[in-house]
This record gives sequence, structure tokens and C-alpha cells, in this order.
Amino acid sequence: MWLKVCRGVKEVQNYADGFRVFHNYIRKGVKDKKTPAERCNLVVPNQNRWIGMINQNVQEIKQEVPSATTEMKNVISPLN
Amino acid sequence: MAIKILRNFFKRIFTGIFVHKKHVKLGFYGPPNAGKTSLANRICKDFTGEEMGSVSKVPHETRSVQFKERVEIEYKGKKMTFKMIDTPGIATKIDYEDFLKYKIKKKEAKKRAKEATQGVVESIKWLDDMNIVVIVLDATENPYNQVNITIIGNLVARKIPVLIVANKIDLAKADIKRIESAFPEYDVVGLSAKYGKNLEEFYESVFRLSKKIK
Repeated sequence: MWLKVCRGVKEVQNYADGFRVFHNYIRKGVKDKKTPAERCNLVVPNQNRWIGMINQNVQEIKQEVPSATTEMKNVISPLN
Repeated sequence: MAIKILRNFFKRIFTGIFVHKKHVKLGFYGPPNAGKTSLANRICKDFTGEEMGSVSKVPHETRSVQFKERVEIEYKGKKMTFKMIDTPGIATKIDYEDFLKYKIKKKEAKKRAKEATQGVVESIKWLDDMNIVVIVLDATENPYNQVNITIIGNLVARKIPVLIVANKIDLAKADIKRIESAFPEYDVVGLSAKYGKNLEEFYESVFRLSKKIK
């Protein structure tokens, strides 16, 4: 049996955040076969809701990367 | 019969004189640092000349519900009186350590976190009284991380008209389409509360929504 030991409140918080996403956007209700987000008319743009949610965050990271690389170039170029 | 008619006649006259016309309660909801107070300040400054509350880069600057009565908004010849209700930012976790990054002392940060938590509870309580709710989101961030499903679900169940505002469109990272694609069935207005960009469209949407009040 696999057991993950949670060390401290912060690690538990990560699991809680993950479960919140799962509950709100992924898991469908038994009665109406809808997620809480769908009940609020909030759409996740993908057939696979997990992939949809991951894509949203990947897009956000992609937007942040160019600025990081230019900063890195500025740091590296004086050294060269 | 005649007495009944007379009574109804006087009732109609006196209620018209003494009872004030109901003000539309316009509530600003959203995550911390989305620009709720900035937007409320902009509207109040435009129509009353006064501000509603202080604005800061530190999250949870507004920690109690602030309201301004009788804000008369005039747009394209139409006039409507609103009661503006600015609420604290809704967050599911408030950690005092987050405030330490902004060079706030530990004791003050703990106090701020406590007040912010009480503010969240207070703003949820105010949800019962709203006629129109404006959900202010940061257009530069992922809408799914910002939105609170429980609150939107509550509003949908109560049939309270909702307007989604994508704030901070003046920033290069802003993406309104992402918010529009997440909320296909809601009115989404992109604006910049700081610079007063695109407020006309916001007023038009608020006037349109006010017709849907039940």
C-alpha cells in the first residue's frame, strides 16, 4: 500500500487546492451529470476537462517564459 | 365598497409621497487585487466626485464592506440611482505570511489576515441583498483560478443578474478572450478601472442588466 506522508499545513493545502479543482471542474454530479462549474455556465475548453485545465495553466506559463528568458539573456550577456 | 376604493386611492398617493424609490443595489465581487475598489472609486468619482475606499498593491486592502448610497449614473440620457456596495476580495485561504512580502510587520500582517477573513464572511452575507452583481476579474490571469464557483452558483440559483468585468486591459498580458471563452453565457466587459478605459460599455451593460432584476 502506497502512503504519502504530509509534512505541515502547506503540503495539505496543495492537496486541498487540487481537490477543489477536481470537485469544481472535473467531477460530475450523480443527479444531473454536471460539474459545479457547468451548473454556473462556466465552460472548460476541452473534451477532457483535466487536459483543458492543464492547458489553461500551460498557456499562462508560456506567456511568462519569454520575459524570463530575456532577463536571463541580459544577465548572461555581460558575463560573455 | 366605496370605503375600499377610497382607502386604495389614498394608499397609492401616500406611498408615492413617502416611500422612496427603490435603489438598485450594485455589488462588486471578485478575488483580491482584481480592482473592485478601483472600479467603484472610478464610478463614484465620475458621478459624485468622492471616492469609496483606499486602493493598494497589497492584497486585502478592503477588509470590510463599504457602500455608497444614491449614486446617480447617467448614460445616454438615461438616469438610474444605485447603491454601490464594494466588498472585500473573496479568497479561500488567507495567510499572514503573504503580507510579509510587502514589508508589513508580522503583528500587523496577522491582524490584516484576521480582518480579511472576517471580510470574506461579511461579503458572502451581503450576497442576499444584491440586485446586480459585478464580478471583477483580473484579465491578465487565468479566470479559472480567480473565480469562486460557490458564489456564482449561488447567484445563478437566486437568478441575480451577473456582469463579468475583465479589468486591467491596459496591461500587455491582458487577454479578454480567455475570460469570454470561460463565460460564454455571461456579459463580459473589458475595461481599465485605473485609466477609465471602456467604461461606457460597462454602464450600458449595467443598464441592460437592471431590466432583468426580479
